[in-house]
Amino acid sequence: MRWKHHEPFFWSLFGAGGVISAFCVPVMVLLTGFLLPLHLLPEAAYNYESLHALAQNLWVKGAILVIVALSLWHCAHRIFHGLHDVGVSTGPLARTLTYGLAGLSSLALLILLLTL
Amino acid sequence: MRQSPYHRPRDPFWYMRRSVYRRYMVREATSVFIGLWMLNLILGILQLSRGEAAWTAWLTWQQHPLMLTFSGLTLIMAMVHTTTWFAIAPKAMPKFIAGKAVVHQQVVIGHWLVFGLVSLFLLVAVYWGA
Amino acid sequence: MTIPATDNTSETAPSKSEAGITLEILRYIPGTHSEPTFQRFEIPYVEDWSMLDALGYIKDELDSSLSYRWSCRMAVCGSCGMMFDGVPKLACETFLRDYYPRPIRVEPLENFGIERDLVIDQEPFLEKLESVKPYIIDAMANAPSGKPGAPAGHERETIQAGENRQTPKELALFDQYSMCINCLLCYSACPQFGLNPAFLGPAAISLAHRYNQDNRDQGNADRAPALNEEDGVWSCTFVGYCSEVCPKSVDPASAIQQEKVRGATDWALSWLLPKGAR
Ligand code: SF4
Ligand code: FES
Repeated sequence: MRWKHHEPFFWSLFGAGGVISAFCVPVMVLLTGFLLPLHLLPEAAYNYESLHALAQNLWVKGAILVIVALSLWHCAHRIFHGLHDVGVSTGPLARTLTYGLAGLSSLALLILLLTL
Repeated sequence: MRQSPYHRPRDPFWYMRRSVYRRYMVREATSVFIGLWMLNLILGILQLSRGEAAWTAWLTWQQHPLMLTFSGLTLIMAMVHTTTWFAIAPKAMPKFIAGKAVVHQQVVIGHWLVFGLVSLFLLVAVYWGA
Repeated sequence: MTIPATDNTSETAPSKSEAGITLEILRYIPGTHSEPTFQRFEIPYVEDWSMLDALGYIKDELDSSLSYRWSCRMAVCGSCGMMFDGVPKLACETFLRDYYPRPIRVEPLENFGIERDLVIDQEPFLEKLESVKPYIIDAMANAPSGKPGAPAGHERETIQAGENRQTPKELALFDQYSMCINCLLCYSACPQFGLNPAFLGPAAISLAHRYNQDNRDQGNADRAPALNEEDGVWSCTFVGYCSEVCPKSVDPASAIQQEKVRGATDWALSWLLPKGAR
């Protein structure tokens, strides 16, 4: 069969992002959105050097990249379809602003992690 | 001759009309919060890479009541996403896996168990691993 | 064998002094009305009347011009779907007593063109249903002496060759989806169908899934074009209301999800397999 569109690609990544964010995002928000800024984490977390070193661990880098990139894609897909739901057109502009932004941010994150 | 049928005008605010639809829209809106929060996280990693001063500035900004409110809303919305996602998950599964019937309720419970393990693992790693 | 006499007392029209209930029905008669308007009907309240009984009373006693579809009166034929207070239901299994004493709004199924009063235009749905080929294709290909892709005439010969067996487990793969009665309540529940009338929709996809899951069927590839289109399964955002309103517990939302997984697999294979094998 010939495919005139690639919605399965968008949907599959959306699904993957949905799964990973469902499992990981709540605890991540709890950790970095509350426990970290409210100084409720162990002292080491407030030592810049050790935190920087942690972020340089290849496994940590990989996990962050996968979680953030897939979650962003998941969000982009939902927002794109949400625009359709509220009656805003779903042309190339909407696609660029949603998937495009998610893709670019993920790329930026990848470069950032590679140079960290 | 057959008359062409009458089409009632569409309601552009259809999603306000039923509670099911309103709940659906809340579910979809979780993506706005999670997405923005992810961008904020990328920003944090950028600041981390730029040195201690930049990182401290980002961390201080996270303590601002505005950001704490945002994190709070994101946490609630993330839980909405998790709950709704787990509830739907078994529906995308085949009726049998490896010859055994898939029981929807068990799948949902299984998802929550994994969720608990993942969360616990990360918290333990941060508190004892640090 | 004797047939016991049925007690008809509850079906005779009650006297005027008894309690009443109001039905506000959306009326539209092409050529007479330029657009649909609500008409109020005061009818006697009878506890065991279904909405279909109430409509029948109106048609017989108050206004014979009222049009609506019905046949089986027992949630089997799927013709009596309409909106009650904005919720799609079957008129034959919805009862006055669940609304009494409040007035009830009766409208034709949402998201469809109105032919007349409560009668909606099913034509677009029937076209969609046809497009997914909701029947077993090449049934005898798996029979003991059957040959895949054999012409239709060949099937009759192979029937003598042996029956096409199905285990309970193979039946369980699709029996739930075979319960659909084409009542279209799910289409009225679906905002994506409301936004995009070209969307293949819950029931058509459920029936496609029903045959795709049938081990006697060889027609997955024949159904793929309609399902894999953008207006096929991909228009669905899993609102999930279709499964809530379905009177037969078909759970169309799950059928759509599973067909998305199948579609995504098809799509991935279209990249992996060499051109000829697609
Ligand atoms: S799937 Fe359910 S609601 Fe939809 S047409 Fe079939 S029986 Fe009716
Ligand atoms: S009259 Fe047949 S389903 Fe209601």
